[in-house]
Amino acid sequence: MMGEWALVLFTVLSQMAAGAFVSLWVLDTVKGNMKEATGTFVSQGVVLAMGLGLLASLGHLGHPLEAYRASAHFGTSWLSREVVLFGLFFFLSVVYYWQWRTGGARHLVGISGSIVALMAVPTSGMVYVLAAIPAWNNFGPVLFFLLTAVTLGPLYAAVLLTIKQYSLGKSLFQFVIAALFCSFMSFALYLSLLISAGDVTALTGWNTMLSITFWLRLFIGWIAPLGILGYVLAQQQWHISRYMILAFALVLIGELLGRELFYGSAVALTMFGL
Amino acid sequence: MAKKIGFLVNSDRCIGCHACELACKNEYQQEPEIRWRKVYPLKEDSFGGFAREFASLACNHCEDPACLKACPVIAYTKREDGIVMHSKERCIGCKNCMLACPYKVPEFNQKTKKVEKCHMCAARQDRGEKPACVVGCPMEAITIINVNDTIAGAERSLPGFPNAAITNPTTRFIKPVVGRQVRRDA
Ligand code: SF4
Ligand code: SF4
Ligand code: SF4
Repeated sequence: MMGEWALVLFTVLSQMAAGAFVSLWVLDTVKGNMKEATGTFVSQGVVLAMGLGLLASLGHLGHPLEAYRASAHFGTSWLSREVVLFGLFFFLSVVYYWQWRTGGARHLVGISGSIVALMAVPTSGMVYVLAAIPAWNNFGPVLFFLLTAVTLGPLYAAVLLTIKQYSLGKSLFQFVIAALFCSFMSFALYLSLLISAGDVTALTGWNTMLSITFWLRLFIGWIAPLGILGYVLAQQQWHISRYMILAFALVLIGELLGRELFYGSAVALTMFGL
Repeated sequence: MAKKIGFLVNSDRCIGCHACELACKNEYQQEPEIRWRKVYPLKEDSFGGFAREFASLACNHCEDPACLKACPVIAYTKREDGIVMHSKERCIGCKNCMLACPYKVPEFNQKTKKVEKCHMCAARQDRGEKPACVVGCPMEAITIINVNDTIAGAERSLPGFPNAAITNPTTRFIKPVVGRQVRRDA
């Protein structure tokens, strides 16, 4: 697909931002001991990731300056809904950041932003649930987009929090390990379903399996971070900070490779076998 | 019932000469890599014997157009008579319709950075003229029909055509007859 780098960057960065926003809001709500400077820094990171994602998405358009019109078909087009929800999420992220920075009341915007984030990510997935592309015409796009948000988002938030010397408990990393494991297992199931389906769906499965990107994604995005996080958490005296950036970088690269594979391997219905 | 127009593609008549494609390209001065109409070779053993057969297809002006649903800027509209129109003015070139159409109809123009497709020569038809492909075909293999009429031999699909249930295309097909023998009795 042409210009897919723009979609790869937009989808991965927006899902990372959504996951990080929810993580920050949950930590703030549950633990409630976060310094304002720390929250400001993390929410700034969310704004940055989402802003970069939106900027990247323009690279996919033939006429980027007219992107503002893309919300027009909200009633029918999942793409319009995606544009509206991520636009709203970006706005709420900026407000959330501002509230952290100025010490204003932030819980209402935190919960609204989290709800919008949790709606925006599956909406993004629905853009690709298309009868014309049988390999996508199922639970896959929505599930994988959500899994990117729940693996990469908390790790991104954790990196930013660690930079600000915020002490994180084990639970966030246990959650990321569980999410990475789910991501790996569900992809294995999805791939076996594709391959057993026949026709262009199986072709998508084989395109995935036989691609070097898939094997890189497997080792970089799943096996290596699972190994690292599992090893660190198993220690009595655990010091996550020195491994944190590595685990985050591996998962980020893995997700970027995985998304490239998602767009690059899909085979659409054919016209008379052509 | 209101008139709903569609293409009737007669593969029994078609000889695969591509004149329809060229008539369309000529009428709208399409870029070299763009073809609103395409002539597809059919699988040789699809009709009970080996034969070279063809189907000439453009936009199917579907009853339930996937392009229209997917487009975020409402660049697609469906006219009363069934023609699915695409507005180049509204299009922002996001290519979402290209992903959604099961028949690979919308094409991206690298010069205008927008998508384009067949509009069934709507302006010509409004003037009472036939579409360029219909006029250009030497075999009279393409006609415009009212899809609500019963047309003898017209079918909704051909082997290898994507599932018509997805968007309910208005194109109808006449299957090729393979192995027809012409005998001249003395
Ligand atoms: S054939 Fe494709 S482009 Fe034409 S109306 Fe149907 S879905 Fe839309
Ligand atoms: S490429 Fe143009 S016509 Fe197609 S979905 Fe995007 S804006 Fe609509
Ligand atoms: S011009 Fe007529 S005969 Fe020639 S390819 Fe087109 S439909 Fe077939």
